[in-house]
Amino acid sequence: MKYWAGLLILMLTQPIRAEGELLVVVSRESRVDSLTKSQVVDLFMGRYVNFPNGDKAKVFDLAPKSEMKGQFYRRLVNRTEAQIDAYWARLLFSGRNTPPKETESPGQLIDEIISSSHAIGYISSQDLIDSLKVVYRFEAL
Amino acid sequence: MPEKRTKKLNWIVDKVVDNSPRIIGGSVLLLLAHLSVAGQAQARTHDHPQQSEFNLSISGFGTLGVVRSSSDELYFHRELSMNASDSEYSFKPDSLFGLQVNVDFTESLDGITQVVLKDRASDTALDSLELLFLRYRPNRDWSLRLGRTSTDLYMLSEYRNVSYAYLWSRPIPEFYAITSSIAKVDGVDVSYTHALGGGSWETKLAYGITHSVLAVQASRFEVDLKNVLALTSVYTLDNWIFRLAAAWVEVDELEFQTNELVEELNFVPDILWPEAGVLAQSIDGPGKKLQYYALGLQYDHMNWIIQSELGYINSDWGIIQSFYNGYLSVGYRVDEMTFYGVLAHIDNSEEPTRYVSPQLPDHLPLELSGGINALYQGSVEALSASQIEQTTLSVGMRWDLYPNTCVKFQWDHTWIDSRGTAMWTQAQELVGDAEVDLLSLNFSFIFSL
Repeated sequence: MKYWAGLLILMLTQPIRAEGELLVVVSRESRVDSLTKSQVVDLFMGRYVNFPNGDKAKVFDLAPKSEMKGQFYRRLVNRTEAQIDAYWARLLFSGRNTPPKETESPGQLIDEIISSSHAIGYISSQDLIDSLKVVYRFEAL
Repeated sequence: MPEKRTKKLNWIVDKVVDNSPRIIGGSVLLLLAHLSVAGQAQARTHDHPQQSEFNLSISGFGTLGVVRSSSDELYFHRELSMNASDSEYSFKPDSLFGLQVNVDFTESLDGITQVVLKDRASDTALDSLELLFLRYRPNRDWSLRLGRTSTDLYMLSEYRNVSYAYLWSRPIPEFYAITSSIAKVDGVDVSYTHALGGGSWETKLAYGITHSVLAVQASRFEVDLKNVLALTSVYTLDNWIFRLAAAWVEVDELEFQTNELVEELNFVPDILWPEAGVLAQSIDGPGKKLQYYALGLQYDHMNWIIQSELGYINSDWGIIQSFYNGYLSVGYRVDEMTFYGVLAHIDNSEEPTRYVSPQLPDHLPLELSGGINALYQGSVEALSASQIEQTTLSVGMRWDLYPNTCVKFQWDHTWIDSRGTAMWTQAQELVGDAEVDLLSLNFSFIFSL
């Protein structure tokens, strides 16, 4: 019985595991070691252009309509992509801030983060490699 | 015409130099000081030589929209700085195109230029320049800007041209059309942002001058304001935005048909009509002061987006009476569509000052007494021409059909008091109150190059 229950749990949790955990990462060279959720919101929603330690931040994002992008913003600020786009239009054209740089794929996003000590982005835990540093981890659903 | 433009340009330069030499001198010094510090800082961070701080990006926005108006008595303005459209169907009120260039010079110095083409009342190219500023951000909390910026008085002030960025077909006219004379300011501003109680609080102080050309009853109303001082405070917490703003302005120069009236009133001898001088003083523009106050609130959570603003404008200028305005907008999201309803109202809080008609001696030549009486009539009209009272109910739908584009459909029904039509260009004398329906269909987009 225990065995079956264990298998059932495994089967139920399988799809979540396959998606991987969402991580906010910087380059290993970055002087930033960890961020709170509200500090991540500050950067991804353009409230600040610098990390809390004063270093300039370069924020990277995924292409529109990718599943991970939708999930990231839902979990970060509970907003849809259309809402996020309109929000950034407000910031950009009021001259306040420029939106995160879009990358074509998770692979390209990782390349960008590795190549700059100021970069920050989000990845799936499956793509985590040594040259990246996790600064924020979303709690498991 | 080119001569006039050059004059205007020179005038603006003169004004800026006249008004704030110390501020500008100080800012330039600050920027120069910073550039040298930045140079040193860059030398220190040379372990990442691939990171060039200089970056240029081009982006833009636009709307293609058609409006159908039910009235051939009152012509619609989206805002007073735009022309009124006199046809039943028109692309002019809502269609526009904007282009923006962002340049990062160093980590803490950047600049922005934004040009917006629309059916403006002004034919001066310089007036299409919505933004042109240099910004210095010494750290994450402080920001100093020098140049032309949007006067950040109301919720949509900084992005009122970017239809993609807001819910409705256009910024609520009762709130935004009438204040377009101080939409942008040439000067300096400083802002300070800090974390407070889990949210973020930004306070901004701006100082400068403005120049605007308004289309008022089929003629041009060209006004320059000086000593424009604007204070904005915004608190953002999760799903809430609270804001309050105030601005104080002084009329510097005015080019309008009332100038001749003032001149003629000043010619009338005191013995004949003692009040002529007082009337002239009340109608004349330079030196008059206006104060703007605004409160704003937004709640945006899950399916609901609720927004409201209240404003009051106090005026000591005879031809503009103090007024208050406000709106409440409620929107509900269903997938990629947002359905909304808005109720907006504007009304004067005071009547135009009344002056008794001149009591002229009987022996006066008919020509002279007729002239003085005509001046009196003209003055009464001038004093009441900007009276305003109307209520609008709007319902509409925004559909985010594809990333960076949206389609909007909106119906507005406006009740206009017969004596309060200042937001419209009147094609013929109104008999009684009026009601106007507007139907609009807009396609809006943003892009980055």
